[in-house]
Amino acid sequence: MPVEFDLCEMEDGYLVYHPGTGNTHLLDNNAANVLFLLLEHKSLPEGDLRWPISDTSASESPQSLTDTLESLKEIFLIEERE
Amino acid sequence: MCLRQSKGIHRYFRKQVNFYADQLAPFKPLPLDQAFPFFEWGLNWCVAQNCHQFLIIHAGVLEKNGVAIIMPGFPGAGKSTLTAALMLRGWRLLSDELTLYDWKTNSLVPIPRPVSLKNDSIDIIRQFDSNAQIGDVVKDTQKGTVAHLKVPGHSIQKAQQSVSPRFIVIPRYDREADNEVRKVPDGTTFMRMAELSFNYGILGVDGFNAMKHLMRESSCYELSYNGDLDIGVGMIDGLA
Repeated sequence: MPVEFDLCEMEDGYLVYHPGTGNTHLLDNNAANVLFLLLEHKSLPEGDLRWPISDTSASESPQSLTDTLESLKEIFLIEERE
Repeated sequence: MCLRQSKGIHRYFRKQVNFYADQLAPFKPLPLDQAFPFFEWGLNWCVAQNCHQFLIIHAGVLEKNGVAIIMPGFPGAGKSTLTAALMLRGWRLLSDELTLYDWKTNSLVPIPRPVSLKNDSIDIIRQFDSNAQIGDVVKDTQKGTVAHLKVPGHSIQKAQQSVSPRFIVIPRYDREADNEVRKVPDGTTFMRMAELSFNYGILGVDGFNAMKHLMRESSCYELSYNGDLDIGVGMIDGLA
């Protein structure tokens, strides 16, 4: 599933505009880091998204990484690859 | 765009008035004595529905010495009262209700017209400036009691002069609050401004880019004031 975002760094996080839904979200830096993880995988040859849930590089957030991922998936309509 | 008195029985009994835009009447008629506020609301509606070459935000906008401030207002925040007070203290009014931002030229486009005062604001402004010229008071409207404050000539004379944005000041009226101006982060302000925009969603990615551009060009503040307009005006004068 192709996913496109417009991103903008602000003083208090990142604004993310999702053209697919027309929604704008302000993500704090922790949530934004998780989103960047997702975006890095956007260019996989398969053309869809997977995320390394076990990757601790993004788990410094005090929030549950899994919860953050679930929220981002819901917000940005990202589908997990089976 | 025009107002016409209703026909039929309401021409003689409980007289009513209709608002027309392009020969269509988008609203139900209102009592004839509400004709003037009805015209104002209809005018706002026409701008919000049609002027999508601009990012339109529910906010007052004023200018002094080339410095423009945008004052977005949630209900009860005191935006209209503070806008009126600033105008009466020499700020040029671009609008008390609709900020029109042309992101292609980074300019705020004036649309000056009488300032709409509601309920307690009417007497507050009378007491603030005894020379304020306020029109007929209309009671029992959908917004309560309303009256309109005349705009000074210099605001009308400069109605063709756009200005670049500089400050976004979010007023917060709270009788118990300390009077203070504090910096607020631009991301949070972006989201609040988007919520107050009439056409952010309609513009799509252009709206996102326009708001982003507006944030880049502006410093964002929140102004808490306890209702003392002289203090509120003084704090904003301090920014300019």
